[in-house]
Order: sequence, then C-alpha cells, then structure tokens
Amino acid sequence: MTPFDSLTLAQGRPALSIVVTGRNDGHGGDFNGRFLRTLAFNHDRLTERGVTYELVLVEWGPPADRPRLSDIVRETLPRVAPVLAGYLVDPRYHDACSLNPRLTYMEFLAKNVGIRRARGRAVLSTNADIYLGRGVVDTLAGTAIEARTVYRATRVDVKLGADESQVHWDLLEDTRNQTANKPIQPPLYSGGSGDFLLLDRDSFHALRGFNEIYRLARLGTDLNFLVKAYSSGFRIVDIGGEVYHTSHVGSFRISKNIVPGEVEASWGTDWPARRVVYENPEFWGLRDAPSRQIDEQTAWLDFSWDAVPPLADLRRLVLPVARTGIATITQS
Amino acid sequence: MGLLHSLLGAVGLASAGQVRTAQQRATDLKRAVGESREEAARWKAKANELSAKLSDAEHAAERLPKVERQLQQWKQRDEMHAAKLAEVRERMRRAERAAALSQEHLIATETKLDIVEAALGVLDRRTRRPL
Repeated sequence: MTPFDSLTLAQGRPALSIVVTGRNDGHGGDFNGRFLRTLAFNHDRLTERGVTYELVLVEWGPPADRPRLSDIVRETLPRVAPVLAGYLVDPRYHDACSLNPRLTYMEFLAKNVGIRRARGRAVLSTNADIYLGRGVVDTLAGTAIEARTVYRATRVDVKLGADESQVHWDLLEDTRNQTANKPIQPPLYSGGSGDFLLLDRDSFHALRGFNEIYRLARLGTDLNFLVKAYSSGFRIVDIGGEVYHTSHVGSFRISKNIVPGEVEASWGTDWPARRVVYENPEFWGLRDAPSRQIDEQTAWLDFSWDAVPPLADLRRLVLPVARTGIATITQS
Repeated sequence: MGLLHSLLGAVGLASAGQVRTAQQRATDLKRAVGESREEAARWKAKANELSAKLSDAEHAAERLPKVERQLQQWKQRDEMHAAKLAEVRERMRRAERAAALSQEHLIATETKLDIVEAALGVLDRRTRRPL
C-alpha cells in the first residue's frame, strides 16, 4: 500500500478530482442554487487550505433549451472556472442505457463518465449539494491518502428551510440546525454513501467504477460499490469528519415520505445491493463515446452505439467473495 | 470369729455376714448373666444384619457381570448416538451452508431475471416505436 502525499502537493496534475453530476433542469426545486452555494463553499474551503483540485462536472443529458450548468458555473463563480472540467453527455445515452423507463437520471453512469476521465491522483465522488465538513477538509489538506482504501464520511442533514445564504462551518456544525443522523459503522461504513466516496484514482479504475450492469435503479448503487470494494479486499475507513446535506424536496429522504409514488422515477426500484456485485466491462464510463471539445474546459460526448453497454450482460453480475464480516454485511 | 466360722461350717451352717456376701455375689452374677444375654442378643442381631448384607452383596456380586455387560452396551450405544449426533450436526452445518449459498444464488438469479425482463421491455418498446 503506497500512501500518497497530502493532497496539497500537486505534481503536474490535480491532486484531487471532485466528481459531481447534475443538469439544469430544476431538480428538487432549486438545483442550481444548491449546487452553486455548495460549490462556492467547498472551493473556498479547499483553496484556503491549499488543496489543488479539479471539478469534474458531468451533465447527463443536458436540456437543449436551457443554459448548460458548466456555463452557469463559469458566469456565476468565475473563481471556480479555472478548475472546471465539464462533460456533456448526449441525451440519447440515457435511453440507450436505461433498463427502467421510469428512471429519469442515471446518476452513477454519469459519475462513472467523470471518474473515468478524472485526472487527479485521488477521486472524490460526491453529490452536487454536499458541503465538505471541517474535518474532511483538514484531512484532505494534511493527511496522506492510502491507496486501496475507500474513505467515507458521515452525512449530516441540515434542516429544510435553514438559512443557506451565508453558510459557514459553525452553522453547519450547530446541532440545532441538524436532523438526527446515524454515524457510519464498519465494516461498510454505508449510509448516504453517494455523498462521499474518496479513493485513489487507480483503485477506482481497478474497481471499474459503479455498477453498470444493473441499470434499473439509482438507489443502492453507491452501497453496492462499497460491497464490491470490500469483497475485492479494499479497506473502507471513516475519514473522521462529516459532510452536510440540505434536505430538499426531491431528496430521497424527503421524497420517500411525502411522494412515495414518485420515488421510483428518481431512484428506481429496491434491489439486493448488498448481495450481488458486478464486473463492469473494460469500456465502463462510456470509454468509447466520441468526445468533441466544445470549449477549452468542456467536452461533448457524442452518441455512439459502440459506447453503450449491452442491455443484459448476466455473467457480469456475480456473488461477492466471502470475507470476514460478510455476515455483518448481509444483515446490516 | 475364725473359730466360730469353723464350727458353724463344721455343722453346715454359715454366719449372717457370709450369707449376705453370698447373696450379694449371687445378685452380681445374675446381673452379669443378664447383661451377657443382652450383649449376645445384640451380636446376634448384628450378625443377622451382616448376614443379610452379605447375602445382598453376594446377590449383587452375582449380578455384577450382567450389569457390567449392560453398562458396556449402554456406553457403546451412547458413543454410537454421540457419533451419529456429530454426523447429523455436520450434515446440518453443510446443509445450512448449502442453503445459504443457494439463497445467494437464488437472489443473484432473481436479479438477473429482473435485468432480462427489463431488457425485454426495452427491446419491446424499441420494436414498437417504428411500427
């Protein structure tokens, strides 16, 4: 296991790639507002601590009649523009790849597009409305990141309606602004996993990203990645800090209670994500999608059937290898 | 006194003192005889008791080989049952493992079927669209 230097030391390429996905479609009410607030906050905190990073923004099927998110970022947050690496994925990939006609967004296939193309030595897969906590930024700035180790962070939900106009760590850390949250536990440290998965890039590539075989759901795909990593002998650890998420209409936690009928459209059906794992094909992350640079920082991935994984590739869905604690996995 | 005793003795008589002494001795002897009889009765009872015990012991000793044989049989049966139990336990452990593995395979198969069904749905929609 080779420890990395702290992520403040860049050597020709960004130390860290932060991979997020989204599009300008008003998801969850005010998606752009939440995205831009967290982006500005995280950028300032990382920059203050000297963490060099690139923001890999994957727009999955961006609406043709609305401005692109990457353009909005550049216009609204010029200080973030230099670290932006945008990828626009042709909307036809959604129809070609989805196995669930009710599913409106393929979050993890989109993240795989970003992970595949990330240049950083470490890759953080997170969501567009996640604030990095003080402990997390401290660790990124000052602690060596071990190879073959998945770093996880507890997600803390900030109350719906909390004032986010001037977000700072004191506000996020104030328990009066938080809803009850379960700290992550070994062996998998699951729970809000899609909000924080940090791993060295080579290991992310060795695992071939998130599951691209079972394309019927978003729900559980992040957990499934942890099962795959654990089963493959990777360490999973708590980074020792928290990340913060603002509850909003459209988030899974809210939707499942208020509009259960719409949950499937956003998240897909429940599936045994703890019991099966996957072996993505080597062209995972739409490797073979023709890429066209539309400006210095943004590439458009043209549609090609060559890049689309088969509809059903059943031999790539396998059982996890039994390891100590596997019983805990299946029961927790 | 000695002469008087001699004279009385010569005519077959005894003095009052001699008579009292003799009577006292006779009483002591009677008591001793009584005690000896009681002692003899106790010993006899004890002897009977021991005899009965001896008889029981003899019977037990006669039964001992048979009991030993039975004990041996029970021991063998017990060992056989213990071995059988261990074998059943091992078979149960194997069956549990097989059941767990079967369940895992069943879940995987069901998940694959979900994919197949979904893929068929996609193909169905793609086929209908141009028609």
